[in-house]
Amino acid sequence: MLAAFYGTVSFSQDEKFKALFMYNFTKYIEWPAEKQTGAFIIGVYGSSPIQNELMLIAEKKKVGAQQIQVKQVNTLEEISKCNFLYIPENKSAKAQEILSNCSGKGTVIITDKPGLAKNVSGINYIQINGKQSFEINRKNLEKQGVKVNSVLMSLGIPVE
Amino acid sequence: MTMKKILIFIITITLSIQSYTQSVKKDISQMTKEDVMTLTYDQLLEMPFEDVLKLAEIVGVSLDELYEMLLNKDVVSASKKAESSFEAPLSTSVISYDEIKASGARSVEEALRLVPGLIVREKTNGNFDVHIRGNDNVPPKHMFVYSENSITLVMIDGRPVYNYVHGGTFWETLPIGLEDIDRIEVVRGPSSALYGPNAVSGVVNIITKKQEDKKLSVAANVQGGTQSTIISSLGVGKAINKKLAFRITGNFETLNRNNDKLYVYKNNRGQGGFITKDELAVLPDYTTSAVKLANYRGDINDLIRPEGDTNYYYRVYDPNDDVDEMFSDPSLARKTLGGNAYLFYDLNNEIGFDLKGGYQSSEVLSSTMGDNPTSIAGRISQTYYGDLNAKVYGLHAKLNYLGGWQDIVKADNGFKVDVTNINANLEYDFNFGDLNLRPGFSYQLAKYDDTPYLENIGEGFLNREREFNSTAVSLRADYLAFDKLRLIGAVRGEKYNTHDDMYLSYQFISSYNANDKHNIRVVYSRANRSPFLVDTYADYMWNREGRPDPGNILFKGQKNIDLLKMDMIELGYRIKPIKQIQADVEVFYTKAKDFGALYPDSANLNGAPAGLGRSWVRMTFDNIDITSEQYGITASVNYVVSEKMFVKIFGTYQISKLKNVIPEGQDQTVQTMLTDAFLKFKLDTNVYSASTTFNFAMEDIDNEATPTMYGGILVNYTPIKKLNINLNSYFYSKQEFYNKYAKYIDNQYQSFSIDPKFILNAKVSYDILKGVNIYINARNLIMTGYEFAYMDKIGVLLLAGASINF
Repeated sequence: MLAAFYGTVSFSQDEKFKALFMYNFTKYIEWPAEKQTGAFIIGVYGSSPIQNELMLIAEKKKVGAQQIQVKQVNTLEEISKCNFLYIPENKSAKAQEILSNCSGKGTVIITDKPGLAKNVSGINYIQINGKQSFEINRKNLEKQGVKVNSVLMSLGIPVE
Repeated sequence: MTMKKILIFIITITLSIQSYTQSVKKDISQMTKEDVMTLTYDQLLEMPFEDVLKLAEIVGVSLDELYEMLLNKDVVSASKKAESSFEAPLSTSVISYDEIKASGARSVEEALRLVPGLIVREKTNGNFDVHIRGNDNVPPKHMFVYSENSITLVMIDGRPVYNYVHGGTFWETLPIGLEDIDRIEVVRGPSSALYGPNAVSGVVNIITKKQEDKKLSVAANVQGGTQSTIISSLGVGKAINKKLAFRITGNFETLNRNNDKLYVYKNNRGQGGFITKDELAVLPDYTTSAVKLANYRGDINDLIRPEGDTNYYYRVYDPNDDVDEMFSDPSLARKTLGGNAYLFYDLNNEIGFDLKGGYQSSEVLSSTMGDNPTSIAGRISQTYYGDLNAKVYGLHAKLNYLGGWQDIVKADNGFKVDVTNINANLEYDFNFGDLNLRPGFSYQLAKYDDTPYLENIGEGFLNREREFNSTAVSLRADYLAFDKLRLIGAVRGEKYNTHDDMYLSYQFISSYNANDKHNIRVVYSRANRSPFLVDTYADYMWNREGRPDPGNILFKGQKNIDLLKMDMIELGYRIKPIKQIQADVEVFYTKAKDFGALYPDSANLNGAPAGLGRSWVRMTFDNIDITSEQYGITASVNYVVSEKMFVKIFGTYQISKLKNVIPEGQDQTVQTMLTDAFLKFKLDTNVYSASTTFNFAMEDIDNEATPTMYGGILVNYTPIKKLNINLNSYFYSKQEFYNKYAKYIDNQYQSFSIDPKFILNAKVSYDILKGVNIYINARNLIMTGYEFAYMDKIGVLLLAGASINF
């Protein structure tokens, strides 16, 4: 029904939930030792409204003992320092290139375009019947240098 | 004391926080979107991930995505690859399953009233005429069959559902119901270069649902109401594993007319019009004078002597036909039964297959495809199909088959045929950076055989098995320059077994995406129609014993007549001034020529001199000189007013001209030629035969059968989450339809006026439970009137129904 499309929601609900998801992912992912010290860096490639939502979370929460730092990143050097790198949909074309440059460095690539979990990202945001969900690819996550708890696999849509 | 106060305070706070968190936790599954939105970040961050996921489900899509979903749907028919409709390089519209369902449209045809540029008229309950941008009734003043749209290619998932008897689509033979449909894509304008013959005025491509959900899905929709209407559709699907999924669907519908009258073209005593079956059976044909019994060779029982009259007359109805059998249930409008099975196998993103198959059985009472004295006739079909699609990297292969039988004019001897259609397509996508090349090869076969249904060979239209086939090669190039300018060229060469020459269709498009807000395009294209059975292979001698002159009519088709073609120039502009609005404007000019029709090429009298000759007429399907020129503008605005309201307004204004039209009606030409022959015959008593040939002056006229204005308005309003109200209207301006008897009686034009009509439909639906919806669906609320010449006066239809979706 169209009724399903006409829910009363505000403009930023998706970004809010994507940010909330991201915070929750940290509970199930183990980064390499060098990424468990200093700040927990969430990079946003290019500009995206998700950045504001993430900053709200960063003010309130930590990942373990690590302070959360949210920043817009543009260079490969900056990217390799990130724990998470979010690539918004309009920058998806760059995802493959970014991946090949930071593989195994403990940077989890989160994309936002259908199909990208297959070969590129560890986690990919998707919408199924208008509902926000995520795909998760264990192999890609391992390639990116992190370990993933199987609970997270069961919460998302596993992709091989 | 102070300590006690502090303690009480702490306990109270702790308890209230606890109870608050408990209440949040307890009620998550009961929460509404509004509830979720009141939650703060602090609360959300404390929740387990499972709960956050549930809340995300409750919130669903945002308004931004809603805009995209409603305004800028994906479309594949415009260029054979998925792209947003904002960037589609042709005039395209998409209507989704949700829109169709919300609008209350009963069928694909009715749903097309939601699409700009389409003329959709209801003939009898649930049976529609659909034209894209006109070209109605060419040539005018001819058989009713020429009012059928034979120049739009209708497909289901790219499989043509098209009849090659006269051309056009028998909509009731589509095996699918509402629950099969994912969306309907419409392309306006010649598109043969992409889709092959008959995509002349455009393409309607119905895309079926794909089973993707992991779990079992069940969807059903049943509605019933006035005019004994029952419409139902069911779909069940399951993904067996990540790669393999299936879906099974079924549909059933029965719809009655709002009367049981049959229209008979009026005779010169004004008799006829809408009469009953019984009145028809005894209606005298007063257009000829009383039968001279001395010269009459037939059975006297075939004649009729009206009460109070001493003379015998021919009947209006062919005495060889059984009126009772032809109209066994004159109040039936449409009865269909269909079933489909779909199997999907996706090995990975690059390799996938799907196999579809189904069956349908249908009967309608709608405009006749024959040459009956009534405007209405029955049509029965039973067909089955199989459709295999494969994608292996860049290769797209498609093979489909349709078999069965169709009785095109029910119980009229000679109209029942066995049908076989086969289509095979092979295309490959080559990508070289910004250049995409798609070469293709295709083969089509249409085979018809009337012999299994003929008592005597010679009584049918074909009297044997006949076959069309065509082989085509195509190439499409799509180049994106500077990320903004898209240049597309497509060309297809088609060789028909019935034609010596190869037919070329093409499409040249340049589309400029200035930014996300403006898209401009220019299109030049040409498309052609395929040959048809009657046009090419008709071979039928109609012995009119017991009928007025002529005594025999020979109908003949022929090969190598020029196939109808249309050229189009179109300018299109899309604009998104703000993100809630998308507007489209198309300005088009089309010119169609090489129409064909059955006209007498000779009228002959043979036999003894002095007026006792037996007359016979030879009718040959041949090209006529008519050209149809149309120019017009279509505009549409889609506006997401708020989260609760969506509005869509669209309309077309067009001028339709016909040049080189034969002013006489088809019957008139026969009479004129016979009279000439008769005069020759009478003047010279020494000749034993006389004949005349076709020679008429021509004129240029407006095509009044196409409305100058048509369009629609849709408003969808969701005041509360569970309630949806959809009002949609469709309107058109006045039309004048000239039938084949035009100018036949007393030199007066006999025509049928269709007054302007504003059709208002309303559907109100309510979710009583999650996934269970009940509704009231009212069609045609405010005006009762004719929508198609000589068909039923369409009035209010009230339905109530329920749907489930799990």
